[in-house]
Amino acid sequence: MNLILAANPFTPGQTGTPEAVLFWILAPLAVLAAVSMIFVKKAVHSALLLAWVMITLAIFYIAEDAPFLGIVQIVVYTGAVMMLFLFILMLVGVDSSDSLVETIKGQRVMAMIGALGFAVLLIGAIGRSYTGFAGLTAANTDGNVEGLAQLLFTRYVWAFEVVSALLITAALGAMVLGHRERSSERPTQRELSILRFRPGSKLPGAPLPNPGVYALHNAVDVPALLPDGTPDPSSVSRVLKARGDVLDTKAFEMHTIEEGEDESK
Amino acid sequence: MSNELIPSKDGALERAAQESIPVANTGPASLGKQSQGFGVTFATMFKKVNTEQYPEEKVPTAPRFHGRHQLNRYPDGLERCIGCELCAWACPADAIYVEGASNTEDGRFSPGERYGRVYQINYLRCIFCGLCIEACPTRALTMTNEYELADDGREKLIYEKQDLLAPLMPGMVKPPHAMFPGTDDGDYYRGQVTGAHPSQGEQV
Amino acid sequence: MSEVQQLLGNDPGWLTLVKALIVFVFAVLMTLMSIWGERRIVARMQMRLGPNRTGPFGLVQGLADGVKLALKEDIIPKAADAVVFVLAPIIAATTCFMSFAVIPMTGKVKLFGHETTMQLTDLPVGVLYILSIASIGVYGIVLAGWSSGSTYPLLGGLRSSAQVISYEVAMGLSLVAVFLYAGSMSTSDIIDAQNKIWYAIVLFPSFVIYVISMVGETNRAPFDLAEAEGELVGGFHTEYSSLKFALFFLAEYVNIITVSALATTLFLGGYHALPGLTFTESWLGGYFTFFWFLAKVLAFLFFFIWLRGTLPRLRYDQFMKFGWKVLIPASLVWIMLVSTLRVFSLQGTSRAYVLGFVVGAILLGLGASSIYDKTKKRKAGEVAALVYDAPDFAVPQLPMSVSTFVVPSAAASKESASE
Repeated sequence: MNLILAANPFTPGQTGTPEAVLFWILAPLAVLAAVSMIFVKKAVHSALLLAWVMITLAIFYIAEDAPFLGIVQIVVYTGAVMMLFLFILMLVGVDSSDSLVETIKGQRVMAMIGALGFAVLLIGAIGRSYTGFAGLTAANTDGNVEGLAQLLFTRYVWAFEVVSALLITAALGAMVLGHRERSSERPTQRELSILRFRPGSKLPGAPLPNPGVYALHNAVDVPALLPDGTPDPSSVSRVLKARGDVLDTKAFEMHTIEEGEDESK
Repeated sequence: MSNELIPSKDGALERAAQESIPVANTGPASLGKQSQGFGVTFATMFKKVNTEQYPEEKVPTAPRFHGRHQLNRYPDGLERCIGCELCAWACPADAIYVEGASNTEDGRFSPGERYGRVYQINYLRCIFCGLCIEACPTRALTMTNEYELADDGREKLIYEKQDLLAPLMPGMVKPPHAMFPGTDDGDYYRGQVTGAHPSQGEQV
Repeated sequence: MSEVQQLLGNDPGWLTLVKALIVFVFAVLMTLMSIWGERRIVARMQMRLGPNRTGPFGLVQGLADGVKLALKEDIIPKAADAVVFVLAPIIAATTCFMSFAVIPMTGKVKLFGHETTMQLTDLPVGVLYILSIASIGVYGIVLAGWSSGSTYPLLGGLRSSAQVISYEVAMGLSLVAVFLYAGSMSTSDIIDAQNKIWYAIVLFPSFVIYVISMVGETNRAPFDLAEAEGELVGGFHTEYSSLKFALFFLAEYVNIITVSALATTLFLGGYHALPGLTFTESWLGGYFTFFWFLAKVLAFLFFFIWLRGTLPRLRYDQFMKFGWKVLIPASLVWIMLVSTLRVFSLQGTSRAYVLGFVVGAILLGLGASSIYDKTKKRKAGEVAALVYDAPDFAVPQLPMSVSTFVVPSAAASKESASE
């Protein structure tokens, strides 16, 4: 960086001491994070470790005299892409207890072949375009941002615009695919209120009764008793009923006192 | 099926029955009108504040403020309280405890037959509603303007009769003593006893 | 390398550490002062005094609150993810201080014999650095919400962070015009470019958009639904107590000061004096510029507090709609206008073309707004035409001009008859 440049005049191709210190502290941390990413139990921890790797990369970019790239790495990758990952992981709640049994036959083999093929394609394409490095001092003659802008908007403008069109299409496609239309009109408040009071309607006209309150237990999992002594199933939440978490009222019911029986016993 | 509760006026309601119409919104006010709110808050910054700096300045209470209770006396020193327990029955918070006892010739605390021997008000229960004052037939129980009742122990906030009795004013005689000679409790009630008689005892 | 970058590049290491300490102390003191100011000024706006018992005029109240929070019991819920639970406030608190590294607080001054400016460093992409730090700060909120292990903090954290990143986009877009005019993204270059006239005047729409989005980004009133106590209890910091809560509190206030300082730097000329009083910039050996900077930051703080005391809260969907559907398109249109005008001025096109362009843009704007108004009127007319006469019995006076009756619709009655 400029601070380091002024303090330690360097020769191109040689690593100055501050840069070496920075590298040897951060790089092992990044490698450790990247490896642990595969082995931690929780998905969110994995995502956080990946975010740390991205931040380390950004710090290296800045140290290597490409500050714009480093900052953009943080803003776009860590701040937007990883944030999106985290949102999904948190809302959907991916667990390592998910089943690893595959449902599609031969999936792993095909994936390996596909990945290898893609790698060969990438390396070949990039290798073909390599015409020798010009060096950062030449690239940053007008400043880092200006140099990058000149390349992006003159030589590579077509690729740049195609990629951005692709991104926009992907976003729109996700929105279209995830869109749901209602099959019928949404009932208004008035209509719902009328339906509630029709005989035989499934919607309750009045609030449901509360769970039973007993001297020894007043949690939500014991039903209330109707006047004839039977428990009322509608007084307990249907979620608890589905989970089978409803307790029996027998333990809490008051038994009838026989005539002559002494209550104090 | 039309609703009989709303009269139909030449089919207009039937026409409108086809749809439920949203209420027209006049929309947000103009930017100028909305900015007037900022002027209000800014101007309020320079107005006199409503804060009372208690305990440095104690703002006097209203004349009929509901404060601590007081058991009043007649002008000659006898207590007005007859131990009838009407206040205890009137209290919605069950804060008053009264035990009545009979006046004897040696120990007469109030005109008439009975007096309040035990009188407790639990200020942890009292809601200062004043229903007990409305219930008292002899105007024995009134409320003063004293509100500084905070304390640090539960027992300390149950006020006994001696904490609630009005102080002896000059000209009063400390009970127990006999009634004003030649009067009965009716005369006391009608306010005809205005001072102590020397035979009743040493005046304060 | 610009002049300031050269100057800062010559700082010895210990001087940078001293300046870092000064910046940190400044941030913390400003936080305490803004807490005090907020409580006292909002109280005054409500015709009451604020805290006035701890210290003279209640000045020590913020410190007392901080110490009290630090000494409280530290609770980590059983269902919480302990590592991330502790990490989240640390991320939030550290990132908010890092933004101060590139904000110039004074002009050229002498510190311990070295000529320098009161700015830790000057990156050529300084403002982008602040945006990136804000992006990492969002992690603190999201992780806090998730690691609490209960639904309401999770929802509150997600809502809060969604709001922050939406308004971050609008903020970034509003800064593009400033970059175009200053020709650089470094903070000191932008301040130099405002020598003649401040950008708040030249780029007024950008300024307005930035001010609105800075209120939205810091989760402040009127955009503070995600952390209002009536909704979602406490939002993402519901389960936090003691020092970790204090760190979130601190992070929120330092964020407010950061965006105010950024607004000062980018739109109000930073440490420059008011036009006409530029002779004061050399007083106190150049340190007087700090007071100009402070005055502008305090003005923004007062504006934040004024907003909080005046405006009611917006609903979440209302302000998200506002951020995405109003602020961002407006920013984009304004950026297009600004870049066209900038190209014109750089290429030295004739006055006629520029004037024609501006007039054309104004006409287009007026035309679009009149079409919009006409559509609104037509829709309102359609609704008003459906009004019919009131019934015979007495009805209460309605404030609105249109009154409707919702009767049991024939469709619903047919539906029930066929059941």
